[in-house]
Amino acid sequence: MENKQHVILVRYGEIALKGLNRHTFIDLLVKNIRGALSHLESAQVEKIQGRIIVHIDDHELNQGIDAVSRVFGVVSLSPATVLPSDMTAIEAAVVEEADLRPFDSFKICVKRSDKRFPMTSPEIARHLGGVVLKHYDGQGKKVKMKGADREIWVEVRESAYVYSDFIQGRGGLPVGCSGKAALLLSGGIDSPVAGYMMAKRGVKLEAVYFHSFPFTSERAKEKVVDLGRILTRYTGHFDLHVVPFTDIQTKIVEVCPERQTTIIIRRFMMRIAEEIAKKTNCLSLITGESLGQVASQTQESLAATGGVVSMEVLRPLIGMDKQEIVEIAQDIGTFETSILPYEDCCTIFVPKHPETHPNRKKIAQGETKMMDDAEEMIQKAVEETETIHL
Amino acid sequence: MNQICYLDNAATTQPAPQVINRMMTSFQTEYFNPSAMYEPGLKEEKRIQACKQHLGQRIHARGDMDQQIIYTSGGSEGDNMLIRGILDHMRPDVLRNGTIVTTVIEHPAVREIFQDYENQGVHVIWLPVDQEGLVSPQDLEKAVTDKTLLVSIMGVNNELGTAQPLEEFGRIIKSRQPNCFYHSDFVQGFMKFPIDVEKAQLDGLTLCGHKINGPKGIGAVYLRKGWPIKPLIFGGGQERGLRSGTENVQGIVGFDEAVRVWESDEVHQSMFRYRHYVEKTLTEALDRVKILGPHDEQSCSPAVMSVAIEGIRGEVLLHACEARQVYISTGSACSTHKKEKHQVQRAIGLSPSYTEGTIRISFSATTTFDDVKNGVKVIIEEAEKLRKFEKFIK
Repeated sequence: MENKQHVILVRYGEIALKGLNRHTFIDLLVKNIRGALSHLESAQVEKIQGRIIVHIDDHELNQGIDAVSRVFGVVSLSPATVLPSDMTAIEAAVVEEADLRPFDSFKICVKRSDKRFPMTSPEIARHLGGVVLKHYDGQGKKVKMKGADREIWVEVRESAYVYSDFIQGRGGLPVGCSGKAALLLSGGIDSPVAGYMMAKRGVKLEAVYFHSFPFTSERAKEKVVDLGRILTRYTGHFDLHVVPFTDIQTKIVEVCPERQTTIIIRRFMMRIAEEIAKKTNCLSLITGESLGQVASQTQESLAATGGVVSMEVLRPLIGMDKQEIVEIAQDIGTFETSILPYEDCCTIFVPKHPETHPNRKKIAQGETKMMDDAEEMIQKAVEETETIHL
Repeated sequence: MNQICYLDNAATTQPAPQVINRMMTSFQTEYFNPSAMYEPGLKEEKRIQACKQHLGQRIHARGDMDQQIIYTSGGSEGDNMLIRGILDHMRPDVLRNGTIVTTVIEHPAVREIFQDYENQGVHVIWLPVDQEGLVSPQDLEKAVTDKTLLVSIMGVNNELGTAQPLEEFGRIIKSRQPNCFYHSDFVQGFMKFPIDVEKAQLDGLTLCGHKINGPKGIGAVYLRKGWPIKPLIFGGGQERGLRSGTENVQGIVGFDEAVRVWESDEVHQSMFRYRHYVEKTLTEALDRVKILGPHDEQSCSPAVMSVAIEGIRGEVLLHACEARQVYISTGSACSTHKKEKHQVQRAIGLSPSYTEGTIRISFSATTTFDDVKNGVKVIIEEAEKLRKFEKFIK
């Protein structure tokens, strides 16, 4: 190993650790960071006291920073130089760091967790401040304790770390620490955002997509695969279950009252999703529903669709405006794909006057003609489901 | 019967076996740069000249073809090269005070150019069409004045197959304004409908290889001698500086071979046979069906036709047919990525219930009668199934 190397210094929130099993949490975070970096050959992830360190070659550094910044549980990160805790080496690294960008005022911040190091933090800071001033002698550089142009950080541990950039992570909890849930993923704007938000709370995803070929096309399916792939940047790998839904959907349209078709179609989606969720050890379902956004998302409609499953239904977008959802979709990069003009199965059989305040009894009545062979049809759909590993 | 039944030849065609063979030979032995100083390079230059000569014959152009045919990457580049090339060569004040004329049913490659000039403040006249997709000579006569700088009229429409009377239009345009540039996008018409650039008095014509069983990535324009254009692509000065870039020799010889495939009378006869068969079979089997565009052989290309079926959605029918390996289209493949749908159907005044159910069926030299029979059978069966869900069509 060379004396000096570039690494990514990863910070996770101490506060978020309270009440959780600290070691399990950190181990899971390390595992998820490893997963996010698996496409980069040089990346090596190491756990040290209070930090996670990613050793990575310079040519993969930017990709590495991108990937790690998207891992839930990471609060912030810094590209840093790691070197032996030796003052001469530290001095050189600090000067090199200072040289990266122009500034008028600066501040040296020091954290010393290796108490064997012969100087205290304030002593190190004062000394290094002097070194920087000397390096720029005659150029009018000033030390400023508040509001300095540059803050150069030195962490003295078993090795020393020098850095000055802070990149925000996405916070949240490491994916997997809150168990698994099945996301009903369509090609729209909302459901990918719902998946993102639950993953941020540590939920590991399985995704379920209802494919109604020929009413929805191969391109519509490909669009959902693409959306799923974008989500994996945050959630890690997951499985997308593509349910053949044409037979059930067309039968509903043929035999059920027209006004109720949307609700009944959604009830069947929930039933199938629950079956898949059970098979894949999920504890809940996740939907992208937002109260009042469309006819099928009134309180009565939510009750009528959620009522057919015994699992918890997580609806992280329930109180959000469309614009707020769109902003998250844009931020996480799913928006552009979501607005591609391919139909999804929720929009192909829309009754002219949909039921907005369904009465649960009436809906149950409306679907009686479906119920004779509902179980078989659901079973068949589940069996014929195609699983795509994303 | 082919395993798959490909009836979307207006989008693109399967390269004919002769074309593939010709190109393979060319890839192996004719790889020299036509601009090279040594003899094999010169041979390629001559080869390109011969292909231009042949192409010129097919459009009945006169004079030196080497100076009037320019190879491009395809139809869109050709339209841009000619329309932009002519207009951008004009003085800004001339352009500002002049008028340019086109139709409401152009391919996006032309329509978008005109829209761009319109946004820049140039006066554009959009000629309407009748219910068969034909421009009225009276409208054209009114539109062309001494201020007209350029007229662009699609020779054969890519959805309806409607062929405009380009010769009659040429007489009208040139009698009213001899100095205006008369252009036609003839991508869907080339080798499928007669063209004579001299009789039509056309100054520019856009052609393309992959619609006639040639390769993708090759097209050509005819630019009548004497018209100056501003090039889109600058560089090594190929094509007399009008289109720089090393010539696509393999594309050019493939295109040339494709032209030869379509020179056979047999191809044309079968094309009309297919069209009539589709028209007859579909209208007999299904009610509420309209064959769009003109019905007489003088005003339509035999290779492309649009059928509007009420009570279905064209896109769903397309996918239902796809599941049975029958490939049709709902309109211009080039514009399916864009949101403005059904421009042509709107222009011919088709009612929304038929517009939604429009499909396009198109043939080429590799289409067999079995393909057509099988395709039509599948279309009818699937359309019947889909009509059960008629009440849900938005």
